[in-house]
Order: sequence, then C-alpha cells, then structure tokens
Amino acid sequence: MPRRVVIWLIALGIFALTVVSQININGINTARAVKRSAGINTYNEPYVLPEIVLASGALGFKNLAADYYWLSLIQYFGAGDPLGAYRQLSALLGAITQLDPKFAYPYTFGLLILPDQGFVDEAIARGEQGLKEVPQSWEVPYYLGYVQYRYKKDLIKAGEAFERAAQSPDAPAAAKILAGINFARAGQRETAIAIWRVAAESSTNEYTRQRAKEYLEHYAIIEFYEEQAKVFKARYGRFPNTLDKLKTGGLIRDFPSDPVHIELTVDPKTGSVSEVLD
Amino acid sequence: MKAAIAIALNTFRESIRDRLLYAILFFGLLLMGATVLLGSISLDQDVKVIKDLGLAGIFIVNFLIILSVGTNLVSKEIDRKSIYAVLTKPIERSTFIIGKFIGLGATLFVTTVMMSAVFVAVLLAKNAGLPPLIFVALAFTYLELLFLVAIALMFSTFTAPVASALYTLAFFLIGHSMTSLTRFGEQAGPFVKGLIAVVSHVLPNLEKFNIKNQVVYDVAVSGPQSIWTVVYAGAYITVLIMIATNILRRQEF
Repeated sequence: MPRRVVIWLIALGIFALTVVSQININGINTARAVKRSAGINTYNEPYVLPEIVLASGALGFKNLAADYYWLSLIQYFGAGDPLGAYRQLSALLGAITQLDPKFAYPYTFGLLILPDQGFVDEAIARGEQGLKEVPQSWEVPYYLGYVQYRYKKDLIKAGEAFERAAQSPDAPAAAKILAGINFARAGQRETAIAIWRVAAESSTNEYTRQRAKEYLEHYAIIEFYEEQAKVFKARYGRFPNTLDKLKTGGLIRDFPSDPVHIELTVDPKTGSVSEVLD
Repeated sequence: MKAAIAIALNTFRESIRDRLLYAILFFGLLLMGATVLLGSISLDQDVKVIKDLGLAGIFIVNFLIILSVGTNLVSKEIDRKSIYAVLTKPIERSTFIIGKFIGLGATLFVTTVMMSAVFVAVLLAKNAGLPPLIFVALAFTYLELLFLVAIALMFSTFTAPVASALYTLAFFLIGHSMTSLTRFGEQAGPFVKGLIAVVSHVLPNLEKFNIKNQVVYDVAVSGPQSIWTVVYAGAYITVLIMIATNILRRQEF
C-alpha cells in the first residue's frame, strides 16, 4: 500500500477516535447530570472582576468586555440559577454599565428584572445612572418610574420619572398620558396595567415587549382569580381565605401558570387578590 | 527611495507567503462571521455586539500578525545572514529599516482591508447602516497597528523573536494602561503624580488611537483631535525608526 494512503488512513483513524471519545464523554456527562438532581455541582456562577480591575484591565476593549458580560448575563438569567436569587445579577449589570456606560439597554433590562429578584435598590441605582448616561432614552425613566411606583410606593418620584419619560422626543404618545395620571388617586393595578400596555405596544426591544406581555398576563390571572372568588362567595357564602380553596372548592381545575412567578394572596374579607411583595 | 521600496516589496512578498499569516487571517475572517452568531443571542443588541466585536477583532488579528511576523523582521535576516547580502550594497541602514516598516505596513493594510470588507458586508447584511465614523475608527486602528509595527521592528533589531514579541506585548499593555495610570496618579502625592505625568508623556499612549468605543454610539472625533493623533503617531514612529536604525548601525556584521 502506498505510504500516502497509509498516512491518510491513520489520520482518518485518529479522527474517528476523537469522535468516539466525544460520544463517550457526552454519555458520561449525561449520566452524571441525571444523578445531580440540583445541578449545583455542574453549575458555574458568573464571576465579576473587582471594579478597579475592570477600570484598567480592559485595555482599550471596554465595549467588548461589556459585551462579554452582557452575553454572560443573558446566559446566566436564561439558564436558571440553582443557587437561587441570581445573586450575581446586580454585579453583572454593574460591570456592564461601568465598562460601557452608553450601552442603553442594560439599564432598562436591570429595571425590568432586578426588582423581582429582590434587588429593588440596585435597580433604582442602575436606573438613576442610566438617566445621566443615556438621557435620550425614554425607556429608562419610564421603567424607573414603574419601579418607584410599584416597589417603593413613592408616588412623587414615580410621577417625576414618568414626566421625564414623556418629555423625551422618542417617547410614545401613550407614555405621555401616563405622565398626567394622578397616582395617588388611580388604582394601583390599573396603573400597572397601563404602564405595561405602553411597553408591550411601544418598546422597540423584543425582550421588553415579551416581559410586558408576561406582566399583562399576570394581571389577567389576578382578575381571573377575583372573578372566581366572587363565584366562590355566591356558592359558599364567604370569600376563600386561600387561593387553594378555589381548587378544593371545585371552581378551578388547575392554577394558571403565572409567567412572572409572583406569589399571590386573597383577602378573605373582600375577595381581592394581591401580590405578595417582600 | 528605490532601495526602500525594493526592500518593502520583498518584505511584503515574504510576509504574505508566511503560512502563519494565512492561519491568523482565516481565524480573523471566521471571527467576523461569528459576530453574527454572538449578536443573535444578545437580546436585540446584535448591531452593537457586531460592531464591537468586529472592530476589536480586526485589531487583535492584525496585532497577532505583528507579534508573529513583525517581531522577527530583522532578527530573521540576521540569523539567516541574508542581511549581509543587503547591507554590503550601497544601502543605508535607515533605508533597510524604513523598507521593512513599509513592507509589513503594506501587509497589514491588505489584511485590514480584507477583514474590514467582511465586517462591512456583515453590517450591511444586518441592515445596520454604515456610519462613516466606522471608517474613521478603522483608520485609527491601522494607525495604531503601524505604531506597533515600529515598536516590534525596533525590538527586532537587537532581541530574539520571542523576546521581541514579549516586549511589544508589554508596550501594548502599557500603552493602553496610560489613562488608568494617570487616573491613579491624580490620587497620589505630588512626586508620584509628577513622575507618572513624565512617564505618561514619554511612553506611548495607545489610547489616543482608541475610538472604537465611541464610534459605536456615533460620537464623532474632532478634526483637531484627529490631526494631533496623526502627528503624534508620525512623530513617535519616526523616533522609533531612528532608534532602530541607530541600534542596527552599532551592530557589526
């Protein structure tokens, strides 16, 4: 057999060996993954470098480093955190906005997701940084207003933020209507629904629109429970004291899946359903 | 001048025959294509990610070419003893160095244009528009690469290729840390502050060429800033070529 053919056969054999090795390694990893039910052993929490290293270590590639952290954050948030609470979420957003302060979307993203993970103050801090760094954005003050309104119950600051959003030349017309709402008088849920409806219809970002639709679905679920609570009262003469009673009372077969995963509670005196916020 | 062009042409031909160059370039073109994939998982931030990664990738790939090809431009000639054939002719050592500089500069121009073409094609395919500032950033990137060629060439006249690559890398790191160093200096005492001020004016400040981070947001560079950056690069490159020539003159062949 010619020498060249032998060499090619050996190369082909070695390549086949790499394929076999890969298949075996994948098989072993899959078997292990089943045993590790929590997934913590295989989980790598993102590591954020200290501020001083970020400031000087990017060597002219600050935007690129910010993009790296941005893609890491998306993977981190999308894949789920077996340790719970996404404790690195705020640090990751801090690194991104420190490296690339003009990168507008992380400010909005932070305001959308940080509060529900328990980082309300961090979300506000990020939003206020966004007001300075990307003053042209209508979305940063808009969602900052939402966080102030819903999580801090600070109607004055919420009003100021919505006013600022409305003044932005790119703000949608609906956002300007919100600036005129008297928050002290308006119902909390109606206002929240109005805020998310604007986002669902006007945001240019697909993720933001999706998030807004999820919140609208969440509020639709709350209204559904309240209607069922009224039916419960008509049937049993009292409002249910837990949402489970709607199921055991035969009114609903299964709880609808809440896309934003916020715990709900029912008031046994009025039958109104509200969110349990920490 | 004819001699310098002849040396430049020879250096250009030699470097484009280098297989390593093709490997690096292939990797670079692949990277430009990969920007699309990374952009697609960025929650609608794809244009920004493509611009950032594209501009950075063009610089990094060309810098790798400098480290692999540029750092042995002169030392290889000395090792092969081919420098004897050149310097025994009536050719000034400065002509030799200038020829080498132009030759590698031309190679980098070709690779930069090739990668930029792919980068621009990706941006157009994504309907991202083509702001003129992108070309300004590419021009500044090329200017920085020429600066680094001059540094690599200078080290190549008196050190081995590996050491030359390490020194060039060190200058790159220092050059991009100047802004941070100056910031740290502001918090120090007057002596350290003064020392850092002197050091920051003597050592190359490569951040002057770095407008990659601002053009992504369409933030323009002022005319005077551009002119002074070109003057700075021209003056520094001239000094580095003079140092390299002087070192070469002191060597006996």
